[in-house]
Amino acid sequence: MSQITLLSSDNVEMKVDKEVAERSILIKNMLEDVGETPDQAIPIPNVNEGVLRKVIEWCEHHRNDPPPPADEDSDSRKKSTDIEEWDQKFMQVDQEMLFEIILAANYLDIKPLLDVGCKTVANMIKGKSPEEIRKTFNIQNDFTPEEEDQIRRENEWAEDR
Amino acid sequence: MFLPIELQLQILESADFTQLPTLARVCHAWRSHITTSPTLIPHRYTYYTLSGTDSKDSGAKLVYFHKLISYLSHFIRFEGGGQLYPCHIDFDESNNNDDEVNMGEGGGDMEKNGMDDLLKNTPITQLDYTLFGSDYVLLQEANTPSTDLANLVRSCLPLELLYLDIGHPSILWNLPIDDPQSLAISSLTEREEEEEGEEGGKATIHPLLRIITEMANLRYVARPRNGSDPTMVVKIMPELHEYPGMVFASEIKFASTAEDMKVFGKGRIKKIMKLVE
Repeated sequence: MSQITLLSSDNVEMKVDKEVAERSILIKNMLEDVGETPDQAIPIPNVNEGVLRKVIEWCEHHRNDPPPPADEDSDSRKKSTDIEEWDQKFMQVDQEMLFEIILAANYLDIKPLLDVGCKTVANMIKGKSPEEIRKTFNIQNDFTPEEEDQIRRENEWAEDR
Repeated sequence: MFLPIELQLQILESADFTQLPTLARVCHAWRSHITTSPTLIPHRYTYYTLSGTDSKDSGAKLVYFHKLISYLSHFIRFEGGGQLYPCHIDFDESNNNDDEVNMGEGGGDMEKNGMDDLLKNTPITQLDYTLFGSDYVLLQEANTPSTDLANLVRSCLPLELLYLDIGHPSILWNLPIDDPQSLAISSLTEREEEEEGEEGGKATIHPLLRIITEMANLRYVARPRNGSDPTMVVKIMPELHEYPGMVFASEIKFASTAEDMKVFGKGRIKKIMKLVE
């Protein structure tokens, strides 16, 4: 089993099975472009050591998974908040790390990991108010008071008659 | 550490349907994506296969129901004279015998503890439909046989909705859909075309729920045959007050006794019929 070396943004080298690294479409395409297993470490400039280790851990566990279905409308997409037990435990990290994993999955083009990350965040914000969600994502409330009033009025349709 | 907007929007696509009304109140970008994204619109529908075909892969005819309708199980009024809220409630019936609902720690002493105990340990999801008020109730594939569709609508829509008036009798009533075909539109594509053009005349969520709510508010003053004071009741199906020989309890409290509590179970219509026979 051939191995390659990845270099994190904080200059830490990590050896990983090529098959595992190729869960990342970005790395897979890079390796295909090079045409042979590179001697030098592949730089992953956007991902630090801690996050890269987590991503590799996920790729190791899912190394034999079949490729995700091309059909976006598949049942697996429909049951959007279902997450495998192992993945649930894997994602039990603080919000900072969770967001870092999502960013890394997006950068490295690992769609199944990105999906799990997004589902985890979607579950995390269940039951939160709009204001709490804004804080989580650092989003400005750009609704004017009039617009907020309008939304509130829309919700009063079912008044007693 | 925060996520860029494109990843935020991807998270919206992973969100449960019931989260969307809250998420649409976060900011303009989220609201716009939730209401207009072609990838998110199908998430608001759940599909059913027509009889005779087993799975989506085998070329089965599919009918898509709006989740707001298929999730709707109850209307609740939390305060006297207040609004009716469309809700989804999953009563935990796993430990029940003979179709009784799990009454939680309150046990069967409903007379003493009232409706609040029934709902104490039960999650209630309010369905804020206004965001989806213009969505079609159901979408069907082209050439779907109308008879099949009618049967499917009857079997899939919540035909027995519970109206819960906290601190007041709970009442059963039916969804008033006589012509399922009139609720349907052939495809998402057709839907998009109709949005661009003229109104298609197909049923959308908003008017349908209005009709349902009006039905919920049909009330009668019933005079019990045992001579007790007249009592205000909500229309129920079948119309119990029209049953010959029926004797109302001194006060109508369908959830006030252990026997009456059975109406919350799966076979509640049958149970009610039994109660009044």
